[in-house]
Order: sequence, then C-alpha cells, then structure tokens
Amino acid sequence: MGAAALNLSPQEFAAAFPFHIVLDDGLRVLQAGVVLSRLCPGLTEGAALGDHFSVQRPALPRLDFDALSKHHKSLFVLDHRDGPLRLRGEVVAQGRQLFFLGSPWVTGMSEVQQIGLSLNDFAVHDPAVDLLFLLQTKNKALADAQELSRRLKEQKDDLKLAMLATEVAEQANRTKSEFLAVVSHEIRTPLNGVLGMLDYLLADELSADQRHYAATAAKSGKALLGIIDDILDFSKVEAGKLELESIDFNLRRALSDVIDLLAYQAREKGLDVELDIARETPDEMKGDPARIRQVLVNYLGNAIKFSHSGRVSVRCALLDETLTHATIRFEVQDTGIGIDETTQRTLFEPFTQADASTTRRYKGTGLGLAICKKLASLMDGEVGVCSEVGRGSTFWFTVRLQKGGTIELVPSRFAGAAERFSGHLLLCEDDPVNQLVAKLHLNALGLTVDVVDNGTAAVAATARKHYDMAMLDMLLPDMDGLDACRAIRAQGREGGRLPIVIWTASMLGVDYGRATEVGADAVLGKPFELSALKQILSKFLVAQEALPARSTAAPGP
Amino acid sequence: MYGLVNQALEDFVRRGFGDAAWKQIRDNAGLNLEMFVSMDSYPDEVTYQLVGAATEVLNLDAARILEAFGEHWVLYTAQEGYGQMLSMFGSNLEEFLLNLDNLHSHVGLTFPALRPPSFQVERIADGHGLLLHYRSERAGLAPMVIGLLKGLGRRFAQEIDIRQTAHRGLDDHDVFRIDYVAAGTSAAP
Repeated sequence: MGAAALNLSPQEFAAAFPFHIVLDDGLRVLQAGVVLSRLCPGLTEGAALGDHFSVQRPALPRLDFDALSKHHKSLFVLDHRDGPLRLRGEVVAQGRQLFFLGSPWVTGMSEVQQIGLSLNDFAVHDPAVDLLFLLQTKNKALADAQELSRRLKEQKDDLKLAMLATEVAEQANRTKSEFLAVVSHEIRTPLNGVLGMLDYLLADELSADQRHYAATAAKSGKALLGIIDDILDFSKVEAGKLELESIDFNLRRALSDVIDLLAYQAREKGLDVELDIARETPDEMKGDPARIRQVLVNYLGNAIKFSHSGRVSVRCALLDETLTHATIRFEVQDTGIGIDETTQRTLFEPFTQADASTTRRYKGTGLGLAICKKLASLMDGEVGVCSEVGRGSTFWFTVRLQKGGTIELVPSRFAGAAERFSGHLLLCEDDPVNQLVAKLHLNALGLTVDVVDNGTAAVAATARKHYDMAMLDMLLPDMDGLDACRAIRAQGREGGRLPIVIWTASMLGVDYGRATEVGADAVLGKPFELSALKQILSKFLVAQEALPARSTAAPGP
Repeated sequence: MYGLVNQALEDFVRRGFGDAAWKQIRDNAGLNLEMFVSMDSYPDEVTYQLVGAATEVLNLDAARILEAFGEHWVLYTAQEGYGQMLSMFGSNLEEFLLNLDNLHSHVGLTFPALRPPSFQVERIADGHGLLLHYRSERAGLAPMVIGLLKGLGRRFAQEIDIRQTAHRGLDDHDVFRIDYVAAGTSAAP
C-alpha cells in the first residue's frame, strides 16, 4: 500500500492515534494526541520527552534520536513521570522525525479510572477495551471460584458440626445406657432383698392390717421393678445394645407360658383367656422366645388391665412362609374400654398413653408399647392396633423367624409350672440378703440348699457332691458365674450333666448368649418372680403333686 | 445464556424473596447445580425454566419478573465488578444508551457464544427523549429491556418514562420510547 493512501489530515491522524507523540531529532515534542495532551498537560510543543516520560522498555544506553530510531521493531513502554499513565506502542522514524504510536496499557478498571480514561478516548480499532472486558471476566471467574470454595467450605463445616453433634449425642447415649445398666444392677439387687423378704413375711402369720401393709409394699416393689425393666429395656433398644437371641424354641409352649403367667390376674378379674393357634402355624422355631413372650405379656397384661368383664383372646397365625423362614402374626383381643383413633396413632410412641387420666388410673411408664414396637421391628416385624371406644381393642404384632430344628436345647419335663419340688440345690451367691431370700424361696418350694459365696467354692462343691441343680450368681468375688459354669462343665461326669442356672441382676442382652456359650441351661433375672423360678425348676427337677401350705416349709437360717 | 445472567437471576431471587424461594425455584426447574459459573454458557432453556418456576413460586407473572430482573441486572453487573466498566461507557443515561450497542459488541468479543442483542438509538425530533430499537435472537425478553432501562435511569438519576411503541411479532422488532421526565439533565456533551 502506497504512502499516499495513508495521507491523513492532522485531525484524522489525531483521531486514529489519540495517544501519539511526534518528536524532532532532539526528542522535543512537535505534536501529541488529543487525549494524551489532556492526560499530560505539560506535553506541549517544544517539551522534552525525557522530562515527561521515562522509557522502561527497550533498555536504551541513552535517550537520544539514534538510540530510539534503532529500535523500530521494538515494543516500547513509556511511563509518565507525573502519574500512573503507562503507554505501550512502537516508534517509527520518518526522516529526522520520530512517531510514537501506541495507547495506554491498563491491567484493571481501577487504573482506567485513576488515569481518567473513558470509552471514547480509545480509538475504535484499539482492542484495549476488549482487553479490559477480558480482564474483568478473569476477575469474575476468580470470584466464582472463591464463591464456590466458600460454599463448599460452608457445607463441609455444616457436615463437620453435624458429625460432631452426632458423636456427642452418641457418647451421651452410651454414657446414659452404661449409667442405666449400673443403676439397674444397683437397684435390682436391694429390690431383690426387699421383695424376697416381703414374700417371706407374707407367708407368715400376720394380722389383717400387717398383711395389708406387707402386700401393698410387695405390690409397689413389683411395680417399681416393672418400671425399671421398662426403662432399661427401652434404653437398651435406643442405644442399639439389645441383642436378640437365636435359640430353638416351641412356639405353642411360649404362648402357653405367657397365658400361664397371667392366668391368675385374669381369673382375679373374672376374665376368660382363650388361646387360638392356627393349625398351619409351625411349632419349632428359632429366635428369641423371651422377647416374643415380652411383647405378648405386655399386650395380654394391658388387655387384662383394661377389661372389666368378658374375655381376652390370644391368637397366632402364619402369615407367610419360605423354606427357611416363617412370618407369624400374634393378636391379643380384649373387650375393654377401647381407644379412639387419634390416640391409636401415637400409642406406640414412647412416653405416650391413651391419655393422662389413663396414666393416673392404670399407672405405667408409657414405655411398654414403644418397647413392643422396637422389639417387633428388631424381629423384622410390625405392630398395630384396631380399636373402637367401648368395644375393645385388638393389638397385633408380626415377627419373622427362622424355622427351628426338632432338637430342643432344654427339654421340659412338665408343661406347666409345679408348686412343689424335690431335690438338693447348690446356691452360689455372695450377697447375704440374696442368699437368704433365695434360700427361703427354695426351701418353701420343698428343696434343700447348700450355699457357697464364691465361684471356687461352687466348683469344689460340685466336684465333691451330687446336686440336682446349681444356681450361680453372675457377679462373684473371685470369678463370674460364667467362668464358674465353664469350670464345672470342664470337670465332666457329674458336672457335665448338672443343670446350671445363671442368676443375674444385669439383664443386658449379652448375658443370654454368653450363658449358652459356656454351657448354662438357663438364665434367671434378679429379683426373681416366684413364677419364673417355678418355671425354671419345672424344667430340671421332679415336681411333687402334694401342695402343702408354704408356712410349713423349713425356714432358713 | 451465560452463567452471569443466571447468577444475576439467582441473586435477584435470593435478595428479593429469600434463599428458600430460590431453592424451591431451582428444585422446581429441575436444576441440579451448586452454582452457575459466570463464564460458562448454559442453554437458554435453563433461564426460561427458572423464570417459569419463579412465576409459580413467587406468584408473579413472567413479564413482571423479567422487568424486575432487568432492573436488578444493572445493579448486579455493577456490583459484580462491571461498575467501572459501565462508568466507562457513559457518565449520563443518553451517553450510555448511545454506547449500549457498542458495549454489547465488546461483550460479544469476550463471550464468543453470547449472541448479544443489538440496541439502535434514534433521537426524537424535540430532543427530549430517544427511541430504542431492540433486536434479539431470543423471544419474550422485551419486559427485561424495560426493567433494564428503568435500572439505568436509577443509576444515572434520570427520571424517565418508557413506552413500548412496537412489538416483535406484530412489527419487525421491539421499539421503546424513552422520554426524559426532568428534561435537559441528560443531554450528551
């Protein structure tokens, strides 16, 4: 392209290059771009370039015409001496004149403002504005990354807090269950003494008033025991510490046991109790019969409590069956006061009862049904209720059980519990009150008892002498009841066949499993219910038909 | 639509209606993103779906939401670092509107997938206002332009009266008539 084609008028040239400088061979200003003159008012005709700008790039030996004109292919960077303006461009020599052609170099919008530039100051062809857009875009991208990082951190912090809170809650829960386990042990042991003594007192000759007082004390004590058991059970389930047993058991017998246990209460209120087991229901199952009984006792106990006449029906049916498993539905139907629909919805929630007046009238912790729900759920089942006010209620639950083998772990010789037995027992218990209570009960049931107070003595006694049954306390001064049991079994011969019952105040779920492991035949809770003791004795001892008055039993020391 | 627009929409909802409203709108629009990246290009449907969801959640019609959003857009871009850039494009409303098309040309270079709208300005004979010819590849955003003009009026403290005098569909393109209410304060130098 010829030079004539670029023959711009000074005005056109100034518009195309608003930041240009024309210099003579002494580097004095001949003319400067309009915008540049505005930004650098001192840059007038005749001014020395070096007075207003320093040349940052290229590096020059000295600032004169020859030095500059040699660098016609170089990128020039000029810094204004009196302000933030920095120009980038090139120098073109024409004869003895030098043309600096360039524009401001800015790296951020703040500089634009500082220098005092606006859009119209730039030539349209100058990409400086787009560069500014790109720079701002880069800043925005950086801000996006920072915002993203902030949001992530916020989420992480929330998560950390939640984890911390969970940890604290779990720790608190563990502490709570440990505390409850300890407290329950501590309460159960003296309660055993109180209830045992009261039972014995009631068996004695008492005046009508005395009998009433003692009976009331015994009733209150048993109620207290029930409450402790409820709270303990509930906290165990809550803490995930309740472990289910998996033992072979007979379903029909488990149901009869429950009815036997509560038959007396029902009879007292003049209620009939019916048991109906659907024919196809399998008999031999594997699972935790104690927990199934617990739910049934709770349902049946409530049914009896809330019914004033008529009958209570216990039904059991097979819902579903596979080769290995069976789902069983249990129902307890009463003709009691019934429950309205609103209450039905919250009935299985903890600390809920039909209403506050129910609590006053019928007592209870309000935990029973919540425990039932949790137990059923642990056994892959559900709970529910159908009820109508004034027409009675049907409480049901389902459990999924493994089908059991045909061999019973502990063969029972008697279907029901007898009232009197014969045999010679070894009782191993270190607490003198518990020794006394147990001895009184056992003597009253017709049994003779040797008492030892430590595990070593128990092992030695079984080696020396024949016993029909041994009852070992779980917590002994020298070894625990399980170790003692293991040692007795290890002796072989007599010790191998001896029925051994572990007697414990700590009802933590692990005890059952561990007791079975070391070869014990049964576990009995402290303080024992007489009926439970009789159930256990019925399994291992010969019952006597005669039923003499308890007061004739030999009193203990 | 670039993430910046969707970011502004998010900011508009969060500030005006709360975080919960935004979460609801985001969920209703089926959007599964932690945040929009300003420099990323999103399908236009995302923006339309967000506006659609907003009409239900905020119980406002789309035109009102778009207009309010247009007004917010001016505030948002200024707040997000483009304020000095806006200043560079004009120190009063008229100067800025005359540069508006240029501004979008520059933005189009920086955001290559933008397909920016065009804004041609025509002076009104009596000199107390402008006609703004708005052309866009996207339909239905005219209310946003009205909001945008109101936002700019606020930015430059210039009270204006805006009427849409031509409608895309009926006419070739959207035209807005802008009358300065306090005349004379906004004439270009």
